[in-house]
Amino acid sequence: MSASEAEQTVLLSSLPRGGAGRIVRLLMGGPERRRLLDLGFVPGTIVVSGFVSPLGDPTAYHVRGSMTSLRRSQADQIEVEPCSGADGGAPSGGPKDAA
Amino acid sequence: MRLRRGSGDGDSGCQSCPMAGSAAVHRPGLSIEGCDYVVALAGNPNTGKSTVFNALTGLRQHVGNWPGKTVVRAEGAFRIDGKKFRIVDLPGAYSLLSNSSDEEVARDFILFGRPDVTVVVVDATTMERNLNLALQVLEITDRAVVAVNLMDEAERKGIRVDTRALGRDLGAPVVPMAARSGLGLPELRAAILGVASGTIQCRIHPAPDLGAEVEASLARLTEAVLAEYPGLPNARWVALRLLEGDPSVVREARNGTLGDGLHGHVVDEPAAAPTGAS
Ligand SMILES: Nc1nc2c(ncn2[C@@H]2O[C@H](COP(=O)(O)OP(=O)(O)OP(=O)(O)O)[C@@H](O)[C@H]2O)c(=O)[nH]1
Ligand SMILES: [Mg+2]
Repeated sequence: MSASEAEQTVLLSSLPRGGAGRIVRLLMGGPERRRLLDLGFVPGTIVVSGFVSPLGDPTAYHVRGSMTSLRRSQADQIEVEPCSGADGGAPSGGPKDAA
Repeated sequence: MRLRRGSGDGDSGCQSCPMAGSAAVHRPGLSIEGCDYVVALAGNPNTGKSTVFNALTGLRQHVGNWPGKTVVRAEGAFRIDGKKFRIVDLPGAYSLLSNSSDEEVARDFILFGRPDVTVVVVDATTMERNLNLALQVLEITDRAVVAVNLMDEAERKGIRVDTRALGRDLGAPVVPMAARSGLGLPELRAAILGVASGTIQCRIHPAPDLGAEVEASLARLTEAVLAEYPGLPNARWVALRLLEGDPSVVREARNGTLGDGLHGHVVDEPAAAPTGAS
């Protein structure tokens, strides 16, 4: 990621519903980072914010053709660069198998 | 039909498995005694592993449309062309690297249970996420089959999966399936038999070169792991995790519990010693 891209990053948790962002980096380390990488939250990947549960936490995200719900504390630690939308990986269908 | 222990072909299969004799529970269906080969069913949660298990064995493992139903190992047996297979249905796992406790059961069996064939059941509608585990399995074994299940669901959603190209790219047999309606089962059986007996040779692409320095450390560490755990399968994988500082593997290697998920956790396992069947 170049410096100019890094300047416009926001946290995944701040994306509005339906908003998309390209992952720039994960701010956490350890097993939690490993877990998110395994679920497809890899730098360069486009994530679309989806269904927000009634209490506002967790939120479901489309990533690599799957839905995954993240707690706010997790989405707070993922930096994304807002972008216009899916790059083929993210479907527009409804929530299916939130993990 | 029952077979007696010992009818296997010797070098591969139940006798050499660390589980031998530890879980000889009588169940409906073919007895799991005396099998020729052991098959592990791996895959992400809710991809249809238990459905495949039931289709192959005629048993009735719990199936339902939410992830995390299978939490312990379940075992059954079936025959293909006169060969007898013990098959182990595992809890779903997204990865061999990051685990919740039921994923640990799956990880330990895949890594340390010495399956002759590992069938990775992937969901045709979410291939990208599913292939993570498939690739991790293909990193540790060249005796694997990738079953692309839920092809009917994918078609309904307008997703096309080119299983032929995938097979070429992975270097392992890839079988398109819709297990609930039995589609692809004969092909899956043929692939399992082929890989088990060696008539199908996987051509897995080599893992990326880690460089001389890392390889040297890895070799030393692998030796140390084997000194502590003689005969441990996938010692190199363990050494890689130790180099990475994977907290759960470090802890298990330290306190001597590496691969302990293999013991216990079998569905319906009796508290008492096995009865020895027949
Ligand atoms: N449409 C369709 N549904 C299927 C197919 N195979 C399995 N299912 C359904 O998918 C759901 C999950 O199947 P299971 O066999 O329980 O999946 P599993 O991988 O064992 O799940 P866990 O043990 O929870 O990880 C069930 O509702 C099955 O009926 C298939 O080929 N097509
Ligand atoms: Mg299951």
